[in-house]
Amino acid sequence: MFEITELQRDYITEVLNISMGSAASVLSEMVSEEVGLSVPEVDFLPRSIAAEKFDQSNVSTMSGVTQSISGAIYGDALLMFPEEKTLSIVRILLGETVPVESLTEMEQEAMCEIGNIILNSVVSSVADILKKEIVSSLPRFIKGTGIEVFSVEASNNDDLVMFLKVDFGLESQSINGYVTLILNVDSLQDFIDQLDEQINAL
Amino acid sequence: MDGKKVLIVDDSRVSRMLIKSVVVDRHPEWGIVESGSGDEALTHVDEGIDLMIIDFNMPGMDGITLAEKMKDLYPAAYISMLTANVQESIQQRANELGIGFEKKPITEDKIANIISQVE
Repeated sequence: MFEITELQRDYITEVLNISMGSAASVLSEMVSEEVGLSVPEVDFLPRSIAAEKFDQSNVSTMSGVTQSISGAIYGDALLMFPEEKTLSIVRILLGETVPVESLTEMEQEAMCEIGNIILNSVVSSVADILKKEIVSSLPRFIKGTGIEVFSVEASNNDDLVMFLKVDFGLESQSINGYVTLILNVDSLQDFIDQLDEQINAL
Repeated sequence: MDGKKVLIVDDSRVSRMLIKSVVVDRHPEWGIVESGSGDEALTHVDEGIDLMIIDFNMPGMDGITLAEKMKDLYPAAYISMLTANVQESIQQRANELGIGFEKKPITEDKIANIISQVE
């Protein structure tokens, strides 16, 4: 099993804290209200276990947006909401720009742009902390269970991933969502090395 | 012609709608041209453009590459990136190119700030 020191874990949590703080500020600007954040969870798990863990914490099907990331680190970034909440989110964000009858038609496109803004905010913060560049793919709308959205297949079932998860909430709308970064195993050691450089420079 | 011409380049239709609604609200007489990619935007080069609002992450050509080409074609036009990719390295490239940089999400104030450059 991949192991890290307490100091490394602490630093990863702090990097995610800062990055999600930046994303929460963006989301707050979009919805004009304060966004609550949980303490980040950091785990090193086989991909299939990460997916199960995700499913256990959610009672409904999730929908959201994913972007592949590459460069200083590589893997996938995901923004997920309970499926039944996505239309409410789109309505809050688009306001009166789009007629109500067009909202459903615009739902996936709007979610992609929301995901693009929030995930890029997280990824940009991580890149700036590492002082490296990270390239994001275009956003892709996804929905399903953890097994489906984490692309768990027989061939990658046992791949070790770094599972970073933060819950956030909009109190007035009773909406909770998750931002997750899944880093591929080959990328993990590079990521830890880059963090060590930062820690040693402190 | 009294009105200005604005080119909005963003692969997100939602973003183009949000930007356009602010511009039209303030300047209904201005002409607006929309493109979903850099390649498509370059087909509008015959139409005199005063202001360009360009996303960074798009299919095909990225926004900085497009801005470089547009600066050659329209040296007098004001160009601003409007992007969710707010990494310092991207902002630095925009600065070096001498174009504006605004961070998404799109708000009325941010669009107003961009269009104030040509008002």
